[in-house]
Amino acid sequence: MAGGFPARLSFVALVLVAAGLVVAAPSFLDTYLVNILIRAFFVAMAAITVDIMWGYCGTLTFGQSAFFGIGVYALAIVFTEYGFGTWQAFAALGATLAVTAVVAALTGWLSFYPGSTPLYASIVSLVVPIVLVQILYSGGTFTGSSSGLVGFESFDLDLENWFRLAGLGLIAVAVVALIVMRSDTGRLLAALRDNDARCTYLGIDTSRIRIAVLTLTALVAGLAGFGYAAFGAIAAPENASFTFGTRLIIMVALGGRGTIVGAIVGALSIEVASAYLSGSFPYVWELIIGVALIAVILAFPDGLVGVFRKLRRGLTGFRAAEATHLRPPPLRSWPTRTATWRSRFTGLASISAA
Amino acid sequence: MRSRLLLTSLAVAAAMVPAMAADPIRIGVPVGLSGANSVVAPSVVQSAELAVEEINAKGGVLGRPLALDVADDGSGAAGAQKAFDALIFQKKVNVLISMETSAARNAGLPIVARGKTPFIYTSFYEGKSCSPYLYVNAWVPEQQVPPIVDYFNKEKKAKSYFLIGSDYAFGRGMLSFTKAYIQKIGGKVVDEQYLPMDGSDWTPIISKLKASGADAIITSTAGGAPNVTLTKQLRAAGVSLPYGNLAVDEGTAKSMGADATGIFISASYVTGIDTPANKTFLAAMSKKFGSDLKTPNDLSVPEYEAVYAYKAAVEKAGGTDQAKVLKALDEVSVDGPRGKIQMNKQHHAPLTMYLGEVQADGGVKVIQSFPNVDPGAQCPPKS
Amino acid sequence: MLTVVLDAVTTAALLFIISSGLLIVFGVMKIINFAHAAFLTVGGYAALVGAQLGLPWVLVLPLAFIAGGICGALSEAIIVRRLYQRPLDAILATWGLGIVIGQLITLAFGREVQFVQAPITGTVAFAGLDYSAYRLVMVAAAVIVAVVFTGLLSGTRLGLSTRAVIMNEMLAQGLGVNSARVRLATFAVGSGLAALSGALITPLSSVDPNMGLPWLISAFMLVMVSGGSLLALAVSCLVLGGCQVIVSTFVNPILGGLTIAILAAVVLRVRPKGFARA
Repeated sequence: MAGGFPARLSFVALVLVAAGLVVAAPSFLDTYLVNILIRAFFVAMAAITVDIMWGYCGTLTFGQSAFFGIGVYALAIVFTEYGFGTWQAFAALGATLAVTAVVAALTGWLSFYPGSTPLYASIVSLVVPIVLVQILYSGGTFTGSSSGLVGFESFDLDLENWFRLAGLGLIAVAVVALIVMRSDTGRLLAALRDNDARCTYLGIDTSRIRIAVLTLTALVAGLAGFGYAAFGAIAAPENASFTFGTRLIIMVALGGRGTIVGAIVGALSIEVASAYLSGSFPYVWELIIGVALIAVILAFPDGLVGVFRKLRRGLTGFRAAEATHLRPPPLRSWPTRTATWRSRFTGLASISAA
Repeated sequence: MRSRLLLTSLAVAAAMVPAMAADPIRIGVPVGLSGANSVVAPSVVQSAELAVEEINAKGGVLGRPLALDVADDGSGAAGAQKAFDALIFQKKVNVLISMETSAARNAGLPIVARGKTPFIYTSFYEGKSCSPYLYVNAWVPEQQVPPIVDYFNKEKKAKSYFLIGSDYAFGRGMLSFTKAYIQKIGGKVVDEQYLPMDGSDWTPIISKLKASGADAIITSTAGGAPNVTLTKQLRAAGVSLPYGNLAVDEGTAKSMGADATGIFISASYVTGIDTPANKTFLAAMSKKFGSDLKTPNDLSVPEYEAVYAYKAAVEKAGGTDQAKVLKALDEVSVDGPRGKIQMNKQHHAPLTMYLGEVQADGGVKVIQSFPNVDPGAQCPPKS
Repeated sequence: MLTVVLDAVTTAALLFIISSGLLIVFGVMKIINFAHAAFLTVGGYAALVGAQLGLPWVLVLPLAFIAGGICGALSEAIIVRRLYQRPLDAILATWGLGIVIGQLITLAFGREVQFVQAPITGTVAFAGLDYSAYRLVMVAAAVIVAVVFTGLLSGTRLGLSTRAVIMNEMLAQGLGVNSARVRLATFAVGSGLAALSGALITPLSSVDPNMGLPWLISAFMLVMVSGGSLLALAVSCLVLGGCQVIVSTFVNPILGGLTIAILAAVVLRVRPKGFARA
């Protein structure tokens, strides 16, 4: 890991502090907030997977919510049809992993073929949750259709232990993600994101890697959904919808894409704020989100984490210290300045300043 | 120096608090301000507001004023989860009184059980929802369906029926009861078709209906928007068969305009009920809301009566202790616009039902009335 | 049988009107405007306002178009202009824009579902069937939209500039075409069309702040499949819309809603340029 021993030590220390906070927090926090945070932790896990796909691999994916939803419904359907018990819990877990893996592999095969464009991959990722939700609607009483599934018996943990479980789970996912992304695999993914063609010339099978990443992130998202439903004991079509998928993207964008931490910050802030504000100021809250999204895309591509980093470092522009970080520096700090420069040869854009 | 001043003023303020008004009893109202139910939700909120205002004007309940906390449940399960969580755990309400879709109610019940909060459900629904914390003062299919089907069978000589519904617990529950009843009296159900709650394009179903040759239609969509879109599209397609709508209320019928003429409804409340209690109620609503008044209807009047039922239960129980209030709700009765109502049949209430036909001006003409219809065995005790 | 055919044709007409605005924006600017749903909603509410004011339908439709056009022009100038090189980011920013517009509408009108009376009610006897008159009017409306815009593109100076920009923007700029003005005009027209379609569909269902969303996905898929040509869009609407109606009628209305999305994804996989001529 870049930075050597002190950096590694501070990373471990941070993780331990976070874990400690999670274990101690339920005693201090108000019940309602604990409730909200548990849900937010599971959503944050899904948001991390979106960050990996989008921030690190460069695929704008609306579809992670579909995998989340598969986890939710796998648990709900198994517990509704067969009741609650040890073998049912394992069956539901197995179903989650199996179905998400298959759907992800299929989606990956459809989206990442040699010659596909990022736009097409986004389109397919858009279609997947829509198809899933319609399948849920057409499932009659098996999937509960518009009502969703409720009233099934689920794990009997008390609120505080759910908090610890979800919080530690989130930390675990985040730690694994950070370690992987800072390793050579992370560099490989960044290379794929920045220049797919060159990777292919170097002999790397980009399609297969993308499909593998999609499948792995889908498994994690599915498990997050499994946990979410296990806690809430409710499965609703909204949990798998394209709107939820877009929500995840907004969380990552606002928090800061390509940083993992940004995904967590974005997910937790939005979930908590929306729970508290949507009762009192529902319209204004959503309006703020919309404006924030536009502002982030136009002016602050690195989101909250980026703003925080900039403040911490002061506004001196030299970015050599970021050489070991995987995000490419934004356009304006390249050594040469280019205004709009494009070369087009009858419809084929060979270089564009993007 | 400054901090001592601060401390002193805080202490004075704290001492003053008990001398101010007694702390209010909070009533949580999770209701569909957005989504399918948003057409009827404003009328429900108005009923609750009038009841609270009237009770507070007479001194509140055991000296404490009532306060309303309204939350949007999005007319669905996911929104209900959030709304119930906020009301029970954040706002810490003493009771929930509201009208919701079955999806929202079913999602909220586990949370109600966790919070041990009494929940008076004021919406008609498909029946058989049971929880020690749930009381229902609106009708169930056993009370509502037979009048319409019997009327179609005898007066309209309908033998074959086409059923259309919204695909969720209420739509399916109502229509399965209806199908069983139709078959019991010797009729035939030609087809049953469903769209998701938020679906608004009924075209393929209407085409199927026209091709099926059925004698009558019976529909059970979510209350509000789906009713309107279905009726508009049915009329636009020229369908004029006898049309029984199990889920429409007077308010929604008014917003359908001319398209609603001729629809048959079976309800526990119509504005035309000729009793002093109803007339007083309507006058009070008119006075409070003026031109903003949303027509009181079968989904909103039970809300008004439920607030009074809760008041009576709290007075009987001597306080807001949940277990005592839950027991008292079974024993108290309310004399309201719909007459005397007591939720003593396995947490459900016997009701007087009215069979009516919607007129061109949006009002409902009562054809027949059925006093004191029993809700049947909704929540039989586990033996 | 004839009912199914009529259902298919009228549905295709509806889809065409809704997607045409998105197509025009995509064709000229190569970005996908996810705020299209919000502009559609603007049109729906414009129709609501018009109906409440008692305006005749002939005035309501242009009112909706203008409302949408103004919103579009403002959006282009403030936001979209900066995103031409970043199509994926444009999707996100326009989605944010859609949220903002939706919330402003909710603040102004409330979030409940509202209704507008159809200007033409009842049925028409058509080839031995009684069919909804308003739906048949949709077909006429779609044809008018297609004719007017093809006319604009081929018959006016702005249309000529637009076609030049579509073909080769650099070259067009070199020849003195003000491509920034073309883009502004195109986005405004595309948004105006979205609003117009919103006003047209409200009598069939209802008006609420999220009414545009279900149509957005179908419109998006149809535009992708049509690859940029108005004629190809008409063909895709007929083919895919027809399939949707057939599946809805003979299989399940819920699965019918999926048909367009799935078929479009498959078509794009097989032929990335869609139905457009290469």
